[in-house]
Amino acid sequence: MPVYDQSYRHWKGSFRRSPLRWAPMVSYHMKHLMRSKLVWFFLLGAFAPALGAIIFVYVGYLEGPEVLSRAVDVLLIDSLGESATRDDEYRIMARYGMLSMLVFPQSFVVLSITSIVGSGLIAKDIRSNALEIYLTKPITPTDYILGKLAVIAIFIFLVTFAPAALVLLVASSLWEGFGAAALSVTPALFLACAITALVNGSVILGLSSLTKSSRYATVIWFAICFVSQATASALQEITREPMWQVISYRQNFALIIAEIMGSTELPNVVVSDPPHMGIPIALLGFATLTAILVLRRTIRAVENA
Amino acid sequence: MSAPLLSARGASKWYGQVIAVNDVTLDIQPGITALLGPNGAGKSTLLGLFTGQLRPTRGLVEAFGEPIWDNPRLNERIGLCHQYDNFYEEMTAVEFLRFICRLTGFRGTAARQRADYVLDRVGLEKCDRVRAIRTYSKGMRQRTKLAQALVHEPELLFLDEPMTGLDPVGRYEISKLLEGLAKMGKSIVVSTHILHEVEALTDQILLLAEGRILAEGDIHQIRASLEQHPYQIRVVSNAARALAVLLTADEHVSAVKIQELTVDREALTISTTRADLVFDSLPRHAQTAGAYIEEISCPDDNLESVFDYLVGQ
Repeated sequence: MPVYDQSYRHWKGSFRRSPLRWAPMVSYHMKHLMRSKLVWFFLLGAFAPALGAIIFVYVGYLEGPEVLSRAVDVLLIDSLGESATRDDEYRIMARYGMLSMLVFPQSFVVLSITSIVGSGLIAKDIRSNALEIYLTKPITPTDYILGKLAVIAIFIFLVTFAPAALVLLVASSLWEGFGAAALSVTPALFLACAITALVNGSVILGLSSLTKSSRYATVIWFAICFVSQATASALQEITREPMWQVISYRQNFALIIAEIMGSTELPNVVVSDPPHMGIPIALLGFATLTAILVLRRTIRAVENA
Repeated sequence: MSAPLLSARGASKWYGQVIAVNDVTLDIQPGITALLGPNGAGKSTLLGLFTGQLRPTRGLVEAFGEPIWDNPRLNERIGLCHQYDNFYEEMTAVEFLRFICRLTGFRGTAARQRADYVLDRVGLEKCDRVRAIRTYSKGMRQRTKLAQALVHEPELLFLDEPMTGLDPVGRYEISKLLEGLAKMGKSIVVSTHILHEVEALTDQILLLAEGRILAEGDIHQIRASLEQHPYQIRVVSNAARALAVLLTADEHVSAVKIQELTVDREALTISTTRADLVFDSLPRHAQTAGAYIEEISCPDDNLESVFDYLVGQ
């Protein structure tokens, strides 16, 4: 009968230093967050506008192209004129549809899911000292931030890009000739979602890193969003100056996303008299950079605690 | 002597006006080294500097010949078991270990196997591994923390109070595991208050107080260098008083105390600066006095008394 060595066995394999070494963080948080009914509520709720759009697409498919032309006329675009071709209608329809799904109904969903997912991502690590565990493993503070940011980005893409892409896919498969319009709008759609994820993700992580309680981060997050919105609206009402809209955090997103989606082709869709695009870009860029600096400072502070 | 694993050159760490570690210069060689000192001595801060968790305010700290601060690559060669709990409490030990495995570079099946193996080694029962960590006792948490430090096969292991909360059997098992790891070439730096367990593990110690290194090296050499503190030699004999008379005549014996144990047994506590001469002369004196020596011991030739002497200075 053999007697086996019961002593400590060294690991003989090698470690792969992957550039995606933050990925385990993402899978852990995804698994953990997907247990939340609130997360599911917002994830499924985000598909409601897409469902409406799919029904419209299906009706258009059943009734023929005239429905589409009538809808274009009714909904928005008198400016296309009589000479507009079917491709023009498709292109405008794709952009308008995506914009109206991203900016208006999804705005609250994006803010909510950002808060639900992001407010605890770092606060919880600080509360449970888990941040120290990360920093004793071969991952850098940048990997740590990337991992957390990726979690928020995935959820924001799930409530913005995924429903929009689903509608584009269904429309492309049902409406002949819609594929080209869908392809042309997809990069802009992706960019709009990526900017939303980057800015919202950085800001909520910055807030989360300032506290041990995700509740505080949530309160500050909604305060930033809604107080800035109310202030902007009040100042616009008082002064009749549309430039005050740049004070609003949400409105800055609306301005940038509308620009990315080509709002110049969509008169009166988002805002009238938009300010110079450099202003909202600079403001959101400043917010993102500040949040990342706060994040790095917090991580270093843990290292130096 | 081999190259030091860890070295500090004039390393200091300040927290505002408070000096946690003050101008420390030292080398730590391979093997087990114990970091000892009273509360607030700066042990955890020194461990933080050694593991790259803390940036030295002044000076340089190196591990494996490279600066440790802001060098996460070195974390592949270093394992750290913190003094405080740092888990996601809703995870089970298995999930936590697999998560740590994946963070350190294990993939798929290798991560699962390695997590199970290390949990076996630290003695966490299989039925406990599948419960949420929030339900764990202090000892189970301690084992899980130790497992996460070991999981990536580090060459150098830092343990901050690793025995805290463990029952005697657990302490014995962990001590044996650490001894085994040291024999297999791992280097271990242990910070602890439990002196007798350190004595069982290693002779190499670093004594800290108020952020400064009070002594470093072999415990017996350090004791021998404390000339102002006479050795205490305890002798149990049936004719202690006669022995005491003879011993007090010796120049190197500074004091002798007698303690009655039973009717025919007494204990002598001899204070001397030359323990070697006392050991030489004892048989001769015993023969002269017709005394039967039952027991000889050195109650202060141990870590605790050295610790008390140095910290009390």
